[in-house]
Amino acid sequence: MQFILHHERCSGCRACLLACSVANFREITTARAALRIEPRFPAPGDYRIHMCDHCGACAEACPEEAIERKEDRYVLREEACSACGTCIEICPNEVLGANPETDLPILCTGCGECAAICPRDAIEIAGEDLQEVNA
Amino acid sequence: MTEIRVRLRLTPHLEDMLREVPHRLDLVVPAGTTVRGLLQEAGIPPLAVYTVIQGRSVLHGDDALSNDTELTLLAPVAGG
Amino acid sequence: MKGYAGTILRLDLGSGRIEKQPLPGRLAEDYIGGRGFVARLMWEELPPGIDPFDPANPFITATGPMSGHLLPASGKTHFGSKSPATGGYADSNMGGHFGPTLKYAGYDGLVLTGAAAEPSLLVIDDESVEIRPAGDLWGMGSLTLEKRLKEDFGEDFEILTIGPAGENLVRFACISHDFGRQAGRTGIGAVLGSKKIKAVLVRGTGSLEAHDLEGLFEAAKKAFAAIREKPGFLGWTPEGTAGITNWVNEVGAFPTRNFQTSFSDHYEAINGKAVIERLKVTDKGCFCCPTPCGKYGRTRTSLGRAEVEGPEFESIALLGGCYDLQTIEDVAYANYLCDELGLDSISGGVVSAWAVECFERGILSREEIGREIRFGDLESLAYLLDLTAHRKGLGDPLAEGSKRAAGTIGQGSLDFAIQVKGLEWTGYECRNAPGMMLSYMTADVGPHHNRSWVLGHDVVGSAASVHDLIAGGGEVKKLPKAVVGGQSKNVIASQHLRPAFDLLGVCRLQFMELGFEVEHYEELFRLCTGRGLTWQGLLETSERVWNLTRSISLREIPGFGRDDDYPPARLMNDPVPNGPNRGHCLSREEIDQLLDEYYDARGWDRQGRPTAETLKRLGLEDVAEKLDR
Repeated sequence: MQFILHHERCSGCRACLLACSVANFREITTARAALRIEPRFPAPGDYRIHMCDHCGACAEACPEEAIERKEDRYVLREEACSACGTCIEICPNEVLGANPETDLPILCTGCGECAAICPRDAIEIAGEDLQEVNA
Repeated sequence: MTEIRVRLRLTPHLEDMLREVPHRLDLVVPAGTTVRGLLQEAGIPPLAVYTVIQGRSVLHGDDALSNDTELTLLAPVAGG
Repeated sequence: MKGYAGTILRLDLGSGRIEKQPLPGRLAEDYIGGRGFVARLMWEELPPGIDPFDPANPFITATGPMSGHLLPASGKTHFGSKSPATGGYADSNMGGHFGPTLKYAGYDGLVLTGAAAEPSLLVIDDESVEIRPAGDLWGMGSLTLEKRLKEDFGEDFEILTIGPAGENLVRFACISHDFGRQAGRTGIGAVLGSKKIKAVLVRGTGSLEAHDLEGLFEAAKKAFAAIREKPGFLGWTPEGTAGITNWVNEVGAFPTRNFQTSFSDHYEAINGKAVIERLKVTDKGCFCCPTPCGKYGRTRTSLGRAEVEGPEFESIALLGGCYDLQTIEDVAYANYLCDELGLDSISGGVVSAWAVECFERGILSREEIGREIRFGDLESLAYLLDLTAHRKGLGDPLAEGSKRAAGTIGQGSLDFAIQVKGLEWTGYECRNAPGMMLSYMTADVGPHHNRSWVLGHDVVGSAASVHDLIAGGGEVKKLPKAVVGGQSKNVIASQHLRPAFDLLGVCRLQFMELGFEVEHYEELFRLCTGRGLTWQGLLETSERVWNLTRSISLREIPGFGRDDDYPPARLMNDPVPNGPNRGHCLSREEIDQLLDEYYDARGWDRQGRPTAETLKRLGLEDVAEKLDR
């Protein structure tokens, strides 16, 4: 699943971070989410949305080959992961975080909850009708 | 003369403001009636209304209504 | 306790002692959170009768049970203390991201007592709580400081700062956050300054527990979707609070040139449209807010350029109206100066305008001021704000607020100091708006629109016959004199409703502006906490808090009561000179009638004291007992 980012629509509310955390980790926090909102203040005075674009850099860097391509995205084989943090360091979008309880990396699952909750359509799912995804 | 039906919806704050003012929410008016004229016909002082919304657009006092429609009226309320 | 973080963090800055107190269940049940926590903790922990700058004055930060949860506009944080402005109860709140992050760090609230020995930063990093020397940061402007701290500590810290005004104990110094959010009122920033705390930083990586996470997720998605469908989503959000400027002027309530009049002829140069067309870069929202009222932009003036959030309506009214600045660029620049200096832009505008009127009347000379000052002149306003924040020259009395400054300067200047209880008025002129006048007169922290706002009711009710208003369409040239009597019911309802959201930890604007339904709040509260909440119950708690805050001021201010509820002489005696309300004002007799009706309706005596019976009805037996002594 590919996302279209409309940075200029983002107002920095972070509902997307919470939705990601709740959907994927069953936790209410902004500290664990597979995307990142970068406020740029006082200048230029706007927000940038950073998300996994499935570039594969994490999979390439993983010494254990624990991240593998599955259909249109990358997934973690938890049993193979040594929680070394290499993928987190290498992620060019800086959207890989570590789950503080397990130290395992948090990868975007492509669930689309961030796009669904965004009240301003700053994150859209490419090529799909949002209403269908919500339904 | 063509007549149109207009239904008005009020936000709760506006409803509260107009509690003691007799007014009507379902109206039949001549096509071409302006928003201001419609409010007057409804018994709602135009000054009591902050914004009039039709679908996804904001209407102004001089805008004329040509078809059956539903309008939402927002009250003026302090933010901050 | 579900929904809450479960802990209050207590820190004595003098000894460095830290205590992590489990959140008392009774506090959560009886006071819900936010402003309710502030009020109850202040009643219990403020040593009676001390000076607001005494180290023992607690600085309280509180969130609500809904703060930080996945639901619309859950970003509110409340601050409370004995007020530097009034000497009575004070709270002030802000949006942004601080409160949610404090909860993720594990704390519903923060109580600071004592004072640090040297200028300091308080750094809360989950369990770790540390006081660090502020070093060369003391003296720095609020916006500059926040940028510096973000660079030094990292983007994931949420930060409160004070500017020079807070350090110099200006009685209307604010707390700033997120490059443009302020807890502006009651001088709360000066309390942090008195404790030598330049900034509070928090990082939280924990999570909150909800009673029903799945249910909450589903309900939250529905709530966000419901708000998007509200007509006000498009009708209100684009201009935010500034959108009301035209209407306020059209109904003759726009404070102009120190409230000399209530109508401005250049309002179109400083309204919401001007903000969008001439300043705006981006919409800037608070935590989980679907309807961002923050308009972040850039301005360019004779004094230079600046990036600034706003101006929102209050800054437009008090800097563009009350100080009469002529362009939105000038208003935005003055707003920026207030933010950087750490001054409340509301009181900053009113106090500066009062100084100009003193100059115009020959009460203050050019020599005493240091230069000529004029309404509408950005340079003279910038000069006054800088003097005030640094307590230089005339800035020293101005830093005391208009009531105290008028006490020092005398010569009848108190008559046109636009304040009640020592706090300056906000953006709605009321000489023909009895309900709004009563709202300001009786607001617990001093005049503030966030306690009660019934100006719309006043406008509708101001017509001897509403037919005049209807017949006049949108072009009413002159409003009839308002009929005084019967306003207290609406005012009291509003005083319970508007601050009710402050108990939950959410913003009220989705409800007030868009009509987001009560049922959503009840349901979301239940899913967060597992406790039932009825709207009626919430309003009853809000009434309890209202009576408690009044009781705190009664305990703290010698002789407090009815005399502290009168508006300044200007708003009673001087008829409005022009605009839709020309010729109108409320007489002393009418003001007395409003107060009598209000006190009676509240179950207070005619001196404005809650009766023992009223306090007991509201579950405040202990308060009744203490006040009786």
